[in-house]
Amino acid sequence: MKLAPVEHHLASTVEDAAAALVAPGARVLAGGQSLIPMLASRATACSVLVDINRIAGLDAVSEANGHAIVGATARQSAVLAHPGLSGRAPVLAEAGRCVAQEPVRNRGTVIGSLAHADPNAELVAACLVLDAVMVMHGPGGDREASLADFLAGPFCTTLRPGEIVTAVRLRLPAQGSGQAFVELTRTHNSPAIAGAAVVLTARDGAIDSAAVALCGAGPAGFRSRPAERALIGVLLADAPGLERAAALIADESSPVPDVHGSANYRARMAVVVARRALLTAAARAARTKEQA
Amino acid sequence: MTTPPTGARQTLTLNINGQDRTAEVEPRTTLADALRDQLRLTGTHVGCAQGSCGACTVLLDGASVRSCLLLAVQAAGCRVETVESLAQDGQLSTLQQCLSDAHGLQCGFCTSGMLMRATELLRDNPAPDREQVRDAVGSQLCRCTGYRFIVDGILAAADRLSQKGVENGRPFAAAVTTRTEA
Repeated sequence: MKLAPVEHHLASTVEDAAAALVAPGARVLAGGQSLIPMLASRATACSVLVDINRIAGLDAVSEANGHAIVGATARQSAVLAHPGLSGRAPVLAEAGRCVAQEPVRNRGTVIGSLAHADPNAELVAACLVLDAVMVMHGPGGDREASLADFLAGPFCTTLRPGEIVTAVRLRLPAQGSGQAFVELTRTHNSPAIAGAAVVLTARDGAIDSAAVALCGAGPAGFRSRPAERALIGVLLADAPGLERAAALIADESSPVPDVHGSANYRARMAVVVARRALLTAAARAARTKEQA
Repeated sequence: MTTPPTGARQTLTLNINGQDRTAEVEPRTTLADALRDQLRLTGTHVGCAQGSCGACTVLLDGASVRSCLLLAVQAAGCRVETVESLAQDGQLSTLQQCLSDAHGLQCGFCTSGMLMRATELLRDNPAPDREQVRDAVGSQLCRCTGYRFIVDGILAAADRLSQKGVENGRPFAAAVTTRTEA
């Protein structure tokens, strides 16, 4: 299938893009790695593609005050290779390497994945455990929303008409944290059946903060608060304790079934990947402690 | 840049394999279709048209991309390299010859994508190990060969290129070999 006729508007600034997005049927074209196949297969239609790829500075990745800011057109491969991010937030790179294939990551953007809001998106889970905040610009001005509030359901967000995400702000975990992303897929780099992102910090060998996020286990990626609460005080070496926390995810899982996995299988695998991610993150936190 | 009316054809100038070429495209025309239909560079193949199979892989400013997921208009001002850039004066490049010698192709449909991924890999990493080659070609679907001979061919090319070095002042991808050297 080929794309239907569509207009292409090359935006010069964010204001220009936001103004063009007010037109009915206007869609943002950034990496296009999800949008173009959808247009080509006629799964979706749009009247004008507002191309933001040439807006100066929108691809910036910066770090300051314990946060990283990733611009709207920052390519996934560039973000994965960013030395500061991969040092302080390796969970992002570990999840990012599971996304599609490298040629797709060379064009696809991190924000594109978040805005596409695929329930199976690995980057959504990784950004959730990094307390991601979406920065948006639109007719009403600038606003921010947590990624959790931004996600509204399968392929749905709370982005308003004419709004464009310009950046995402990520909280960089403390030094010595243990981080992990684990997913289950049918074949190497096929879509996630279930995936879990974990960031743990510990004091004296016991967990004092925990972030656990799932993909493939609900209508959108989500943080498991029950699991996070259950992890506080659990020793890094207490595998049964970590597994009990992972098991709580089963009650929260309401996966959207598709060709890659049934709801029942996804829900059961969500617990498995969470368990594996917790064990891995805990081991990494323990190792960092030993090396410190 | 002036945006033409909705969906209208425009004359686009693209830099393909070091040459400026013009093509009549609509905004919806993918780079893959522009290369194949307008520029008659049919070495780039369209398999799934969804970005999964990788048969359409070309290099854009040196990085591998899915040309079926790029609009032709988006490639304006960028350097596009296709499989046609590898052979010189009708002679297969070292990479192509080694892939052929290793029986790294059968139907050939995935081959152009494999060659462009290998070209990118060997530029970044002239002496990859087997795992690194497997990782690179893992982005490309091959239904014929089982990948082993593709990996063998790329490793052989890396080996031979490290012996031959750079030829004619051009990067290895344009290094030339002939059958008589085999």
